[in-house]
Amino acid sequence: MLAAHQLAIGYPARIVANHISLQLNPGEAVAVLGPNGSGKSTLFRTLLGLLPALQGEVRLNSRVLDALTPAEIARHVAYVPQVSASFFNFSVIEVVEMARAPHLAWYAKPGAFDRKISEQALDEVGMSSFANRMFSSLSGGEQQLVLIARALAAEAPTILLDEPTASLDFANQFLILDAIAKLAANGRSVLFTTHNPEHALRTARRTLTMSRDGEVEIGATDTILNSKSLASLYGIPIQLFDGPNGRMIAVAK
Amino acid sequence: MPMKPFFPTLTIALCVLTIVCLWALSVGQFAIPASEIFALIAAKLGGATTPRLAEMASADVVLFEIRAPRIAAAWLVGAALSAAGAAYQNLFRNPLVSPDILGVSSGAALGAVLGIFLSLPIIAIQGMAFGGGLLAVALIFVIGSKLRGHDPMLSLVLTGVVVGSLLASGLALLKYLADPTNQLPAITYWLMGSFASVASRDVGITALIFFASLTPLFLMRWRMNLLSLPDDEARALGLNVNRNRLVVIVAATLMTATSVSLCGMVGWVGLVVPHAVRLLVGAEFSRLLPLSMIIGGTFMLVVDTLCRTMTQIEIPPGVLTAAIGTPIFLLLMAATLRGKG
Repeated sequence: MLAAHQLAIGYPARIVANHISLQLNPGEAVAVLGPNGSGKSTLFRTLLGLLPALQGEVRLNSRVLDALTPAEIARHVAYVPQVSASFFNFSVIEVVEMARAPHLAWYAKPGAFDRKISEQALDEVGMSSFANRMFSSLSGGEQQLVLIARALAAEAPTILLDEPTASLDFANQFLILDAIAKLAANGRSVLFTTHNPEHALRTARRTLTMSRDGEVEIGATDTILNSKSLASLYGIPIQLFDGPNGRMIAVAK
Repeated sequence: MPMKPFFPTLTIALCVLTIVCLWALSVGQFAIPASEIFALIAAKLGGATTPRLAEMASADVVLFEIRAPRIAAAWLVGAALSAAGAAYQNLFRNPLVSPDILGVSSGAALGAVLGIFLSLPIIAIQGMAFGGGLLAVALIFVIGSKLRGHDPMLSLVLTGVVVGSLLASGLALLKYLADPTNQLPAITYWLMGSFASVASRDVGITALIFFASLTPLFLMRWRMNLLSLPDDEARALGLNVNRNRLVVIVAATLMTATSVSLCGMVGWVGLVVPHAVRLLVGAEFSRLLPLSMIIGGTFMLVVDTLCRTMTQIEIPPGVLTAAIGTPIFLLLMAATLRGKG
């Protein structure tokens, strides 16, 4: 279980945000919401152990993150990056199998067991039939699903997704949100960043908001996100409306 | 787009290599027909001897004392430069870099020329070449980190050009200082790259260092794929990026240095071959590495054999690789930049 306690994040010359306390529970999806430059990526890098905490600490199963090797962290926390163009072209199954690295010795290649785990991961996101396609030939939404499958193949109980719905078309955004809801329903701890309050309201039980001046709030999504808090978070008038099927709609005035 | 076939391509590449080896053994000033080659090899292996063996004494010398070491040297250099190129391309996440574009070859050449200048033994020349190559990579890393935030593809290529010209000025200084009657011609001919004067003892040492530096690359062949991802992504997948990168740089630079100290600077092979092989079998490094070595070795062997048989005098192989490599490089660069836009 990944937990941050009184965490200060940022760089030696500049603290980005302060006093972040957050525990990720199994079976729960948590959203991180905030404008550009509010430190969402910095928070992720700190939680993944890529950036040292300025104050406070991140603990993984009650052990301090700094004391763990990259492989030990990777076996417990999987990271789903934003889809970006790669210069090198791998097949889908090759991309997913990369997640087996923290389970393998430095000289080893993935074997039959790793292949099975990777195929199951692709199956869980409904991408089995794409296994032998080249990754770059897939659509943005399909690529994002493959990257989620890669996180699953790491067999990590905690999954961090960096803006998984960014740069996707309207339908694919909901495909990914449903996939995130399913990850949580299957007992994993999920943390994802988003630019869309509706996505947090739809998929996350709890939400952490980060404002540009470093203020951090966390709580149940439907209490922490309201017209007033969204307006102050983004600096423009925003109103929330009740939509059909209990969905909420955010409208900027 | 489906996955690209590996084993059929590997089989074809090995068949082509065998045929090219036979061709290279047989052609030249002293032509040896294939039947004699087989008879001589069989005799060497302690197999059937024919009464004609005595007549083939001079063919025996040409085959085993002159052509075989030269073929081994050409193959090793092509394979080493291609393996190093594939590794650098993965490491810098840039399909347009290679030992020569990055200036590693120039650094190794500077070190090796300094060794020749000081009349050092071959193993010391190898060491100097390795040191010069590492110096070039270090310069590229330092300058590259200052240019962060700009187009990494172009800034890396430009950095290599700048570092290469700096090292070339060092080379020019050494040539100027060298004894014009015996050292200067030796350095000049050697820099152009030639397999003509390769001794079998040097081939042995080169092969030893080549396989020693290939071992870590081969063992890490799958992990190399993760090194081609953005740093954060690779680290989040549990990779100790800095340590792995250091191992790959040392191995690839050592490979470049050995090939440079054996036959001087041969450009373009390390760029064009891994790039083309990636188009054939995809980017997965455990397939890219062996096939790049086989095809790179074959390519170098074809080039060297053409160089010594096309005309009365020998053409330096670096001239032919540049003539073939430059247009291919421009095509690949245009395709890569277009693909990005």
